[in-house]
Amino acid sequence: MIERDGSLCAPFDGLATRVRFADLRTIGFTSSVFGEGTSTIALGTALSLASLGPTPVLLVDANWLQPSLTSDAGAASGRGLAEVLRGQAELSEVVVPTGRPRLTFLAAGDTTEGRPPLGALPSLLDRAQTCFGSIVVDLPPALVGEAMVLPWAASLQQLFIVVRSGLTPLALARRAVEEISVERPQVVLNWVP
Amino acid sequence: MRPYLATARSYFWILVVVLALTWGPGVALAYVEYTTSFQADATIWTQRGLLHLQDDGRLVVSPELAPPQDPSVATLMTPAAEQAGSLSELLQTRSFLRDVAVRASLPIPASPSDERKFLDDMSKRFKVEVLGTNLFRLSYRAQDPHTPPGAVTAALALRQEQSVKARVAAMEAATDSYRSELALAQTQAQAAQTDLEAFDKAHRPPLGPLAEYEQGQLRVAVEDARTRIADLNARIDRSAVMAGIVQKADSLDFQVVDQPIEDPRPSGGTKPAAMIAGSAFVGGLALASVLVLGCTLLASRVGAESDIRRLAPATLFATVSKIPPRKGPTARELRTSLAKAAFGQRPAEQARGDG
Repeated sequence: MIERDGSLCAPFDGLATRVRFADLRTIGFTSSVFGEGTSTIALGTALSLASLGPTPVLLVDANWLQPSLTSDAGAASGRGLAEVLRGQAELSEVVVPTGRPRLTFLAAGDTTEGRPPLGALPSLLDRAQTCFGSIVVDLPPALVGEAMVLPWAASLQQLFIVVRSGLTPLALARRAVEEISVERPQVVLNWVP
Repeated sequence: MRPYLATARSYFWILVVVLALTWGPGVALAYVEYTTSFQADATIWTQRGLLHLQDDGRLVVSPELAPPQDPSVATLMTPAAEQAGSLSELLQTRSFLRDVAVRASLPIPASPSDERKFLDDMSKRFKVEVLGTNLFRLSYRAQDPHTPPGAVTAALALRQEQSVKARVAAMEAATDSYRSELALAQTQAQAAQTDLEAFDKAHRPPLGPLAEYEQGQLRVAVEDARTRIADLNARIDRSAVMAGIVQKADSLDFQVVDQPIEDPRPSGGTKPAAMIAGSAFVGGLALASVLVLGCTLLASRVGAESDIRRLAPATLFATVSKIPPRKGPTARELRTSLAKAAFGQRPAEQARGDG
């Protein structure tokens, strides 16, 4: 068993604790454009939530435009979310355990056949919640992949908009907030000096 | 445009202070420059050498002036431009400037580096302007009204002295050459005379046709030698008076039409003062523009937690702090480490690795 590296997850502990205390079980991270650190925050938060315990955590790579977590996991050619949404695989068949206890990963899957239908998202999340205490979803930027983000925004308990401090143009962040149009849009300010 | 105007309005007083700090000293410096500038100038009428020294030592009227210059003949450089150019070059040499300073009784600093600075500064204060084909102006600007006339007069006098000295040196060289030629010619004449006298002693009249021819040849040689001596003597005599003629000719070729005069009122500082004021004005505007541009760009990015209010109705849920560069990894390194921690040692791989 690998011991938790405190300094590595430390930047995300505050965020994970807030998520836990707000009793948010399904959360997603998006941004206005690429390069805001969304995937890093999703990964870090999932690691931090898993280390907080005791419930298992599922990290989902739903960023089909740039599935960097799937690449990191070395699962680029494997089955994943896309196959589950198409009904070609069961969730239990495609999730993979990670090197961390209580953390499981669902790769993006194969999107070369076209974008998978997102109508099954609510039922997928319901099924996932029966096995996992927290579900963390990495999403594409809202202004780039709006069609991929909005269904998740409607299904997740909370969708966070990641804004990188000193880098994200205010106008773009504002547009992202408007595009998502959820009831309580919330921002995670990343890389604050 | 609107964001920039909004930023300018937000930082109005800072911009006012910046402009005041640049324009204020600029205007003050320009005023000081204007009120402490005193200039004197001399206008010079010039033409190309009126007299021209020929190879045979004769002074003749320059071919450009006799017959009078044909206006249709294109001249590459006007006499004024030529003289102004040579004077400008002289005024860039420290030795010439040092002579000018000595003659104008300007205090030259003792230390070599200070002297160099002083002479360089002096060089910048001289200005040569071409006014027309034959007219040009030499001016000098100083911080007191007494110095400029002396400096201009000294520069012109030195230039004239140098010019005359060069021409006189050329004349003296020509005279020396004539003298050596004269000595040779006198020796040749003496030899020819001796040959003639020896022939006359050896041959008594009546002479035969051959002897008569030989005697005629010897007499011609004596006459030639005498003529050469007379010619060289004439040239040497001409050279003796030539120095005076050259000096006179130079004074005709280079006439100071308007002498420099001392003007107690500030003059000549308008352009430098305008340059200083203009530079300060442009500099202030540029600085203010950079400030507005920079602030607009910074202000239009989400920087601090307080900026999240501008994203209403969105609220701040949490912040993720940047790891100080000395204490931890960069953003890219953090991502790599997180990925390695999460996916680097998957149970399946571990099992395979354990074999």
